[in-house]
Amino acid sequence: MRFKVDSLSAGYAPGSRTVRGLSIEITAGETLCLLGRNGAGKTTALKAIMGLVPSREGTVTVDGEPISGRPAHRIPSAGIGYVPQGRRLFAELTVRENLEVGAYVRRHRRVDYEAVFDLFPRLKERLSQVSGTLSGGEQQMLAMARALCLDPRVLLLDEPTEGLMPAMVSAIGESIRRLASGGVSVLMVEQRLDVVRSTAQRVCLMDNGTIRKTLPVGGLSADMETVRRYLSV
Amino acid sequence: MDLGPFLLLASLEGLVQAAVLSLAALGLCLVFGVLRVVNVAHGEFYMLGAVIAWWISYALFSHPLSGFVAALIVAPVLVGGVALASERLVLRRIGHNPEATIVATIGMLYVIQQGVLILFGPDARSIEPPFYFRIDFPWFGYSGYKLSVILMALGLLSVLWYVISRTRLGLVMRATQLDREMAQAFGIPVDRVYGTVFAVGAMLAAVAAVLIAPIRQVHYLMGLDPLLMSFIVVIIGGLGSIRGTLFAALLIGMSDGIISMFFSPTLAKMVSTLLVALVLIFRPEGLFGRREP
Repeated sequence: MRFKVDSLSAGYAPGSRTVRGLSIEITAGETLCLLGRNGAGKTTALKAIMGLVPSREGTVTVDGEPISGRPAHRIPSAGIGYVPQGRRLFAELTVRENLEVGAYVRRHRRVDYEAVFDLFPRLKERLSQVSGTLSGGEQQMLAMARALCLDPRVLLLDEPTEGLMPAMVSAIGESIRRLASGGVSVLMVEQRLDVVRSTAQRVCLMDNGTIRKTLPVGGLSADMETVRRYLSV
Repeated sequence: MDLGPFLLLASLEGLVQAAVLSLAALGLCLVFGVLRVVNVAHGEFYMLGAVIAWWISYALFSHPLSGFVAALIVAPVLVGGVALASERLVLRRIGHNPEATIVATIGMLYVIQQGVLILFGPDARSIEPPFYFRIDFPWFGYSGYKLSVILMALGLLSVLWYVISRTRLGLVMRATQLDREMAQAFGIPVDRVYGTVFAVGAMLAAVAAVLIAPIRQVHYLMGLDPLLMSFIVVIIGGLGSIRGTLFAALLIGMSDGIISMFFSPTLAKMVSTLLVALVLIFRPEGLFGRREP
């Protein structure tokens, strides 16, 4: 199994468990989507995998290599790229510098920026532009490109289409599909069902910090009743 | 002397002041920018640099120039080592908590100051300038060493600028400053960056002290004035802003030099402090600082 999360529990405050007993398995090239209403623990789950929120129990492995319990800065080198909610670019750095930070863990190897520009050609024209001045869609592209610079085996995407124009939404969806077809495992948090349908193979419905139900994406329409129950406030 | 030449002389004094001040203040600014803590012991790292320079030039070398060159290398390295150790042993254990760090660095201030008092004694000592030559203007002669201080400081500032804006280390520092959590998420060892930046900040103070030591005297209480001045500069420039710090160092250094010469050093300090008060009232984020969103 490419990426495996086994009964992970995590929370910000000591003793708290925003995420409880989360288990996920994703094969190479597969895209899995976490669906759930606000506060269900989706973002915390991704942060806990990155080591940015302390995890209490459970394990995370990439190709069998355990990464849970490592200090946060030693997790990305296992091949995990993270695209956080709200993009979190280094706003005062240029596009090029953001990509260089993304490639930090590969500093002793050659970094194939061309493969990244192949996916997001617009960034190549804006290398020396300060990233905070990019448009929203370009910023999202850069956030993804930054994560791709470490040549990830697993990509964690937190609401990659939030606040984007429709044309940009489909462009981001297309790039996720291309990445997955290249063998990257994608764990995505996404609220827009059209994006979920066009990119993911399986969907996990999350509530109160744990996964209640896992469906193939084709089952989404058939089981709209359940989905609505988990998404509606 | 006429007003013109007198103003030139005062400006030169101000420039020397500004050159040294910009190095010391940049050290404080970097530490604040990246670690988000205030280092109250900054002036003691400055003093330690001067004391080590005195010891090297007095005890180890007979020729002032070789002593000066050795001090310029050894003093910052030793001071950087002390800073690195204190960051590991103290600041890291209190998690770089801003309030706790202020108290902890006040403690470090006294430990270093009293340690130097015990080992070095309470006397003020002087260091011979590494070389003597006078530059003769039509109206007065001026110390060649003082002019070289300005040039050396400019050289060091360009090196620093290059490191921060063009090298990997600088990129890592800036990324950590902008978003510590995301820096970690891309594999940057933030703790090690903190240690490095704290040491570099202290080394800048030490270098400034080595440059100024042959002009002023070396004394165990000499850290107080540069600490105060560095704070003034960093607050006026905008906390964490390098451009602002350089601009404010030039402003404060020049005004201090000129007012000291035309009126009195006390008035110069009053004007600087007044400027800080005005900046805090009318532009609390500093001249080049960004308003917190």
